This record gives sequence, structure tokens and C-alpha cells, in this order.
Amino acid sequence: MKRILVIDDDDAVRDSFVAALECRDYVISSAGSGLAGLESAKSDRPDLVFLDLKMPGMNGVETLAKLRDCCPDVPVYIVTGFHAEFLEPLKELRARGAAFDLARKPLTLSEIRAIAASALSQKSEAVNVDEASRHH
Amino acid sequence: MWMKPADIIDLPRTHNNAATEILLRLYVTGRTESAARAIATLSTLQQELGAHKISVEIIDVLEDPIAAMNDDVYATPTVFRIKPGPIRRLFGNISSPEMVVAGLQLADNRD
Repeated sequence: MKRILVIDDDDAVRDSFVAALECRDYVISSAGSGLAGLESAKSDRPDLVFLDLKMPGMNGVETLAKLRDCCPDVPVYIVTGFHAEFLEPLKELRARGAAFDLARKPLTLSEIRAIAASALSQKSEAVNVDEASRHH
Repeated sequence: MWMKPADIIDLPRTHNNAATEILLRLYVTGRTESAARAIATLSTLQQELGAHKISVEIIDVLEDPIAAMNDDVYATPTVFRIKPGPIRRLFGNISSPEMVVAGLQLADNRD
């Protein structure tokens, strides 16, 4: 079974990822901080990581940089609002060679599932945009 | 995987030809493996259909997050069929022209 690691300091957000994914043949691990997430990744290498950007202590940028040392090829989705001021530090990280994809916060349960299916099962999801809007 | 900065920065220029029958808009986060796969797929599709028929815009969410919010992108990579309407979205493993044609319902425009 594929292993997914969710790193987010917000309990409710972690719970939503677990709720979205737990019945889908995935093993879900969650961590409430960057440090805890790194420890989890080192002990049980994940197949996919959802990583919050803004966390107290070790933030998402620092966590990703260290995550790439232990898990260089694991797909990482950084989950954040798409605001320029949030994304600016990620440009620097990318310039240093880190690769990651972005997901917009907040994610719906179906969006979380679609991301996991894409990253782990090579699937894709197609919808008419007006239909998608009605599900938000 | 670690990518060289040149691999990340060197995205193809966007091509926006209002006269083409089909306009696709691809959102990526630099040149991840999934982004490179999507770009290669759309490039192949463009070669198959002809640049006179299909144009592709590529937008890096880190560079233009406002565009991503306006189009309601929830994750990368995502490609939209902007023209012809209605707008249709394909997210995920964009790995073959056939998948793009089916997912974005371009079959009527392929001939």
C-alpha cells in the first residue's frame, strides 16, 4: 500500500486529509510540525507528501529542503494559499534546485483524493469548470 | 528529485494565438517531472494538430499566482481548454495526447 505523509500544524487540516484518504488503500501518517514530519519520513519513507507552508518553528520551506536530503524523489505537494507573499520564499527554494508541486489551500476532499490518485496511481481528473465550481 | 536551475527556469515561451481554434492553458510549478511530462505531451499534441490549429499557454503558478486563482487552479499540473468553450479542466498525470484529447474533449477539433 502507498504511504502518504501529511505535515500540517492545524489539527483540522490533518484530520481532513485523513478523512479524504483513509478508505482508499493508502497508509496515512500525519505530523503536526516540520520536525515531526521529517522524523516520520526518515522512519517510514512516504510515497507522497502533503506539506503545509506556514508552520511555527520549522516552516514548509525549511522542511522541504531537509526532506529532499532524505527523500529526494518523493513527490511533494506544498499546500498553501496562492498569494504572492506566501510563494516568494518558494522561488528561492526552487532556484536552489528543489522540485515540488503546489496545491491551493483549502482543498476539498475530492481534490485531495485527485492529487493522491494522480501522484500515486498516474490518474487524471477532467471536469467542466462550471460543474467543478458547483461542488465547492 | 533535484532539478538543475536551468531545467526549472527554462519553460517554453507561451504562445497565445487568438486565431487558433483551440487554446489550452497549462499551469505548472516550474519543471517538476509532472510538469515536464505535461509540457512534452502538449508539445506532441501541438505537433500532431498543427500550431495553426492549437496554441498553448504555459503559466508558472509561482510567477503568476493571480492567474491561477482566477482560473481556480487547485493543484499543478492542470491544463484548461479555454477555447472552444465551455472551459474544461484536466488535472493530474498529463502523459499522452490521447488523454488530453479525451479529457478536454478535443475530438471534434482533432480532424
